[in-house]
Amino acid sequence: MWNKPLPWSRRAKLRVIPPLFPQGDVWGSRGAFLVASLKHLLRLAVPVLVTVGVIASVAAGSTWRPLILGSPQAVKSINPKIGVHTRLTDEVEPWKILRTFEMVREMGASWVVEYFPWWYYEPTPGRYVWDHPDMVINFAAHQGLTLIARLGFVPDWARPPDTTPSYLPQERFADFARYAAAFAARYRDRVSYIIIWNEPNLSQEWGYRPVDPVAYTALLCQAYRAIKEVAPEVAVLGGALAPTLAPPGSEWGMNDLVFLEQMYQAGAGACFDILAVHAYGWTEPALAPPAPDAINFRRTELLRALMVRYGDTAKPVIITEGGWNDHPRWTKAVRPAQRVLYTLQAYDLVWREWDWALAFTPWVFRFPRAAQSYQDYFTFVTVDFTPKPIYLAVGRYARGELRPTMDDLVDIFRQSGP
Amino acid sequence: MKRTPVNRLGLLACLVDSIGDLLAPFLLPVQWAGNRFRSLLTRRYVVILLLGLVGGVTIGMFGPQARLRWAADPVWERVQTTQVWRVGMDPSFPPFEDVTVDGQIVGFDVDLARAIAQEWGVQVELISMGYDGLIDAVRAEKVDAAISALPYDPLLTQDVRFSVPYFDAGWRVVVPHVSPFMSLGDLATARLAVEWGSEGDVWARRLRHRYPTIQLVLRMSPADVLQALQSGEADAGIVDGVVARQHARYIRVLHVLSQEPYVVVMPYRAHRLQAQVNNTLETLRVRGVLRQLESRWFDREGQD
Repeated sequence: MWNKPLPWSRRAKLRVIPPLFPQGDVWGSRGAFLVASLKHLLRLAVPVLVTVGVIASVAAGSTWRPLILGSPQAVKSINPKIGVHTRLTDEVEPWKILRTFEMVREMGASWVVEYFPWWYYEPTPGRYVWDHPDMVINFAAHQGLTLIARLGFVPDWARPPDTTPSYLPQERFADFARYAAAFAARYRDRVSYIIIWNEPNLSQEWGYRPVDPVAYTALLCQAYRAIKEVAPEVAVLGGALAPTLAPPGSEWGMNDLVFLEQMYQAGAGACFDILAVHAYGWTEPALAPPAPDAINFRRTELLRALMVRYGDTAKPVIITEGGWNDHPRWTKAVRPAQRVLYTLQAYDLVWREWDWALAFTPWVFRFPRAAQSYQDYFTFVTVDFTPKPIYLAVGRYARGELRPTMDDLVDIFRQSGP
Repeated sequence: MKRTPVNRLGLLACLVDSIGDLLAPFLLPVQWAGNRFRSLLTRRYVVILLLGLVGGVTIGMFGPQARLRWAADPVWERVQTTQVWRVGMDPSFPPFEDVTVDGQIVGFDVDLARAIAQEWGVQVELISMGYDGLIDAVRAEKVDAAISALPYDPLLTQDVRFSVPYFDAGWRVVVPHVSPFMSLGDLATARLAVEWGSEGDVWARRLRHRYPTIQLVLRMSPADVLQALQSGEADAGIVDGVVARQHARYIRVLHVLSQEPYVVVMPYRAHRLQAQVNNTLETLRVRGVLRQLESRWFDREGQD
């Protein structure tokens, strides 16, 4: 029986698809062996690839989708100074980042401010992880938006233990400047504005230490020089001070007017191209007159006057945070209709009357998840991208369909909403 | 006469044998159970189940949570030692907390903190601070707790501890007490009053996607929304839980749109304090103290 020859069909199959490691001279020529081996490997590869693909798809979950950017977009707006501060630092899903910038553009905003935490992108010294900022910056550029990058958030390796990420010891200023320069060098073709630090006149933003205008000036100057070495065309924004009436000697912060003056006295004038201003209106209207003892939107004019006094007349201002809140019970909030009116008036004021201001970017377009606090009442759209009436009203204003007056808003009420 | 030697070993064997015979009826079940157990051990799944049981009990008794449960609670011990409970709050959210003209912090949360402390026989020290710093202050144990209209946040449960909710401020659809509407579906053709631009407005627009025939009645404030309900210009309205509670005399809740449960926030190590707060909140609820506090701070009877 064992000598019985195999049927011809079986023999042929053996010749074409041999075992992987054959014994003996059963293959004929070397070329036939290679062809047969390749076919064999292909036969193995197909199920292996299918299996790997299925596993990868399941692992990626339902969110795995090819993202289609489409053709590059441009902002259409009658007011080129409309902007908004986005909050994409913790947003991991690409489609949400893209949707955010699409909605910003559709609202008629040309400017966005976004935060790029140092700790996230240089987790160990000298090792940069640019995946997330690459995506954010590319998506913003694709929507035709001008992006202002805010840098801060100290990695744990650059500060003592048991300190917060806003604590940067003086001996580490050079490390931060190196990060700022690396950022500027990488994105110089897409990011033309960089803010150095955030609200350094508040203790909580200075590592819960007493605030120090001289030390902040030293940090600003180091970062300025480092950025200019690699990307001289990138504009460096200094300041970004919190509007506060903190009394002298307060452990919580320093009056922003006092802080800016001490910055100038420390030589900060040579270390920034644009002053970043935070202009919150709290309960006052957008057009309420400024006063040193009042926090309102036009306090920006007092900071501007200080710049002029120190000879910085040619330097512009960008309002990189600000606006109004419409929480139902917070004592610093206004009613939603007031918020809409004041925001439109502020956009209009910056555009028509403040030729020294480039843009107004109120806080904040959207949060990746609900803050479950008064912070949610600063937003323009909800977490699930439902537009709030303020978003729709700004869009109408940007298209020239709505004037920033209460009469026009009342018309909107009569039409059952915008 | 030669005495026959006694076989002591044999006697002992007989004795044991007799005892064995006597005990046999009792030992047989034990032996049977032993044999069954041995046979069960030969089955892999039984072994796995037993190992899992032993492992689970071990982890339950000695795992991190168990150790935490058995561990001391320094926060609660400090409260007991000093007889002072330090509570942080941002007095900017009336009627939960506010500052009077003479600088006193008053509100529902203040009275709630005092009522809880009174149950424990300790004093309350109110520490005023910004809302954004409250959670950090609790985490760093700068305060023993924060009571400041703080909502439960599931993403912070590894950083701080939350009590059971003591108030829900989420958004509601409300109707007058005499309204014929009994469910959300009845609103299909209703006139729905909302404050323009508010979260209620956003909810109304969502509802209109579901019931396109809803007619929106836009008003400039929650008071105007309630006025529209009272005057008959609207059939229903959307307000938050606080406004709904404040006007419970005139309106009833038809449908809960969202929840925003307010809780007491405590340091993560304060597991005993958490248990005490939860127990005391339940006690206050049963005794009607919470209802009294709500009446005091939310009822608008005579205020409108």
